[in-house]
Amino acid sequence: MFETRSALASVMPAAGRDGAAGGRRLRLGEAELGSLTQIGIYPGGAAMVAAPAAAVLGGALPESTVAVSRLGEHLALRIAADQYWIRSHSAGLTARLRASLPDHAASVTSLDGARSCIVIEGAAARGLLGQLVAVDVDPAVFGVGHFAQVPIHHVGGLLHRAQALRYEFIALRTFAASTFEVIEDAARYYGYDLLDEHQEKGKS
Amino acid sequence: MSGARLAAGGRIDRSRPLAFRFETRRLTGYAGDTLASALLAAGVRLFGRSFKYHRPRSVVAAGPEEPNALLTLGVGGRRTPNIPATTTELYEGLVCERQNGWPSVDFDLLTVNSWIGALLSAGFYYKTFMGPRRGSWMFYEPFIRRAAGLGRADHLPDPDRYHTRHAFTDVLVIGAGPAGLSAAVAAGRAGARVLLVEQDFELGGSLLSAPVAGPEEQVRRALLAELESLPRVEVLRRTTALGLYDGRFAALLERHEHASPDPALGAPREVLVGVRARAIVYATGAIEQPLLFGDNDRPGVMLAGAVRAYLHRHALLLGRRAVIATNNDSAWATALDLAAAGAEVTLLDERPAASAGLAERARRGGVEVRHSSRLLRAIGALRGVEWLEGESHSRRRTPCELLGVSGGWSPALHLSSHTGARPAYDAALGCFVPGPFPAGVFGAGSVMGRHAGPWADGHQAGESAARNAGASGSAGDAVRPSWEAWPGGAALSPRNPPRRGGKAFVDFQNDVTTDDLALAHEEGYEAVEHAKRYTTLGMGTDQGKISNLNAARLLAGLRGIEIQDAGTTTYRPPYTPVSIGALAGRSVGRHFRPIRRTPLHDWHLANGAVMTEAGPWLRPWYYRWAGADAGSAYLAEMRQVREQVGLSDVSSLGKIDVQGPDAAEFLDRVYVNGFAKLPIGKARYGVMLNDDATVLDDGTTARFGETRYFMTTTTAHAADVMSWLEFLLQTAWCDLRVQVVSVTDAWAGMSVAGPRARAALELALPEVSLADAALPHMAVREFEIAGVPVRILRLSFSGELAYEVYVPADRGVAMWTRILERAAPLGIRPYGLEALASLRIEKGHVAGLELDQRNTLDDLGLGKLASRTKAYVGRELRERPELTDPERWSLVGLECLEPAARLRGGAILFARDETPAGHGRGYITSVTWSTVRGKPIALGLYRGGLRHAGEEIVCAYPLLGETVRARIVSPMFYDPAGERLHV
Repeated sequence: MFETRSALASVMPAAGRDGAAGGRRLRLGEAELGSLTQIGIYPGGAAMVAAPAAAVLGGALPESTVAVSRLGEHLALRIAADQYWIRSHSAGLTARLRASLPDHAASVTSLDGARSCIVIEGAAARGLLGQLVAVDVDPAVFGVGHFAQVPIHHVGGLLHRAQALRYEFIALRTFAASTFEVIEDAARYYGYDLLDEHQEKGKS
Repeated sequence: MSGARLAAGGRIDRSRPLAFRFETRRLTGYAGDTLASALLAAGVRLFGRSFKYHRPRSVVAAGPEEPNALLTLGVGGRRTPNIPATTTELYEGLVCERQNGWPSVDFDLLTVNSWIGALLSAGFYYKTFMGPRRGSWMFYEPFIRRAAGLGRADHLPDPDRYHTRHAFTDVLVIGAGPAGLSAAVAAGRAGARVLLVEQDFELGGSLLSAPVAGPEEQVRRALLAELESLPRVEVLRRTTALGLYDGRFAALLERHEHASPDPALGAPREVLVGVRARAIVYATGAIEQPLLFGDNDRPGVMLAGAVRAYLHRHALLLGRRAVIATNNDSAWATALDLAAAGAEVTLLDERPAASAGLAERARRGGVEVRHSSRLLRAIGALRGVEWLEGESHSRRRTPCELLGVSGGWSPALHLSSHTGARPAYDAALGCFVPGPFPAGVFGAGSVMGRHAGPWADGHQAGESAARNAGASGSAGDAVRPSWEAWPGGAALSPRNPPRRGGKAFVDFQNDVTTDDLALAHEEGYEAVEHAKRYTTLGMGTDQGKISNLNAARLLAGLRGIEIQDAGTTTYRPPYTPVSIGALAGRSVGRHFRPIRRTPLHDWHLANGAVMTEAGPWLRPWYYRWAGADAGSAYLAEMRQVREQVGLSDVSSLGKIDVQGPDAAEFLDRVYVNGFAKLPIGKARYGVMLNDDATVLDDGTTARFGETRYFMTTTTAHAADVMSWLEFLLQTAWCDLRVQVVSVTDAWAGMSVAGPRARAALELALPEVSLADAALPHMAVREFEIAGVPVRILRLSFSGELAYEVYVPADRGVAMWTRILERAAPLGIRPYGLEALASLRIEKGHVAGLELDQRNTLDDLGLGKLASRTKAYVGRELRERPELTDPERWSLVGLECLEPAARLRGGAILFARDETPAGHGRGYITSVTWSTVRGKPIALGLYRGGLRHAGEEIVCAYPLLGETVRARIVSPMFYDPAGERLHV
């Protein structure tokens, strides 16, 4: 009934292209983000939230502010001292969190649809990211599972190293098309194929 | 000069000829040539005309310190003036031309400037062109501007791409001469991540000026091979370090034009690199300085080290009859090598004796040596030199076609000074050396004034830098040649030059002579910074690399002080000129700045919307269904809303999720009016102030649950409000149990407005009751349709019955089209920003143009909104006398009294009987044509506000010389009682 529409629909190229030296050393595209929920803990509320959150998520909320915690089918990121993102493909997670976490201890906010997930993958991924983010993406520094909140072209987002040569940039939806255009422009030098992991959420 | 390419030798690759175009001539050089060496090999001697006097000029140096050989490269959009030929790597297809001659450099009529040189001394434009009356300068200025400058750029768009890159490293080594190479190897061996940058296209620095078959070349190759083998060492050639900044951040410029990059394939012409390093090693070397004597700018006069560089690197013997004049040992190497190549050489040394062993080497090499001898002047272009010999100062002449001069070496310490370390004068060395380095910064080699033993010096610096960066491996031993050729020996301190006629140039590029400096001193510009700006010394593209030191000496001498007391000017980035393209990087054209699109953006484009910029957003300005241009379309759209129903995209409004047990208290504190008792299911208009009591923003906040609120802000101030709320929670009210989350991107919002709005939504959303009793004015509902959350807020900005509908952003198009399709029988149409703004003006709502953070609640007619009982941000400072002055301006409505006239935003308001001049009594903030009044109307701010209701005033627009009569009325032009909202 209410079909979903990607923020990148109109800017995604029809096809990949070769780079300056020939060949294609990247894959670009959009990934299905799933649901994105922000948990905010009020002053003094951490102790009251820990157990119910762990029960819903299947593991404790992360302490690290640089590494993603994989909790079963969920990814948990500590984006601030008192704030967490839970990324998941599990239906109804936001509602379960809202029902489980005491509302005098924490807030639960759905960010579904508020972000777009841009994928940069391939041998030249780090070279491309070097043009876009002021973060040291040397593998010895930015390991698999690490994330950093950084801007691309003046707009903040979250960069996650999902795999050895796969990076995901979670961009603000309203800026996502503009951000992708900048990424694609920078990727032309390396040449790229297109990924298409984004699937419609389905007709309701 | 004469001479030609030698048949053998040099570092050029004769198997790779490269064709290029020099003005109308097609020439050939070789891989490994610079443009300067290729032109010299082709017999070109005149490289341009000087800036002011249009004197003939030729190559002086072999590196970025070159002041004369500035050419224009490229054609069309790639045309780039003022490029040193000495640092331009020759490539196939290069196009170049000389500069600053009219009609040509070869035949330049502007040499007349040389004849009137006395009128063109330093600061002449402050004197010569000041009369005959005040304002005369504005007459002369265009002519002076036209005559000024060297090359000319084109106005065509630049077709090339420029990239930006962020780099991180443990040890940044700047310069790949012997010290730099050694430092990089040492740091790399120790396990550090190393970035070695070199501005040249070959690595080696001063080693490239040495014989190819010498022992130092073997060490150079060994170090290069080892660098390649070290896994964590990255080498960037053709990369200039432009500037050093705090935190060991360096700006580098990578050049790629030698590869003829194709922008269509994404290849950049230049890359600006920002490097963050844990440690830095300066190995930037030293720059040879010229001597001062009469007509020292003649073609054929060069730096002695450059002569040697062209000989050994490019196999060019630039003169068969050469004189070398020096005050230090280094130029002896040039003299010896020229003689070995077959030239007849006379060496004039200002000192009574040189270092041990050099005299014997000169004798064996057939070099005639004269000690205690000083140059007096160059003769012709170039036919010989006149000089003074010995203590008797006997005047001598020697014929020559090449004159190599060396006045000592000045460390290239510019980068080290960028972060504020003032250079210090070393009297023993006769030059300035870098000031104290901060932690993590090291220097090696001749940049430190240490010319001997650069290998070991660099090795030690690299090892220290690696340790500082946390590397713990062994750096091993320094690699060095079996013997080091640098002659050593300090330079004789230069004295003021003897002259016999002719100009003695201190700054070649800007035509600044010793007489100019004396004049500046005489006129009171004694300080080196003043003298610089008065004479323009050091202000050219070479930034005084071969003039600053001589100037400092001269000025110290004129003032009778020590040179260290005279000091240097302040070195600032960039070290060499950088193109605007490189600084812009990718932020050009469509990428000039980020663009923000609503979830409905693509639909608008596909359905006839003409977009406009609203901050970073693109929003529909108007739709083509309503008219062919904005001026007609918005009126049709206004009527659509006033008479039927319209649909507008309000997704750009700021939206903030406010949650927590203390959320009500929090809102009570940030808004001037009360929110603590807002019922669930209701929304309220609120205004928030800055802590100085000016209005920050307005908006509506809805309560969806006991602890859940949904705040909307203006589009323009969404980020400001979010930052403000976070600031308050993190610093002022840390104990409040509140979380705020920006959800602007999470929700698509659309406004259904007009007398048929309810009917339209009932067709679109039969799932929910929209009857007045179920959803009265300012009520809100949230529900789901097939699992999709939907929020409806009954709010109006237009003055008509209206609803704002919110769905998750990725469902926005689906909801929008559903409303349009299902409500089509009612004639629903989309309307844009222009109509939206005009409707609210009719209603008297303040918006961005009034909320400019200078105005108070009372200024905007909102004073009654403020609570008298609760505390809120800005409450106390509202009571400041200047903010409660009844004569402050406040919001009024304006009706135009002249049928054919128009009111303009920004027009200044005057009382009817006042002369419309000066600041007036206020100004117009917003204007529109009113479809309900049938005339232009406006909102404005007028001193005394509505106390002047009914009065006729004048709206002046001085930019167009307009004055229009208007009447002050209530700002609520439409439905002041709000009856249309409560149907």
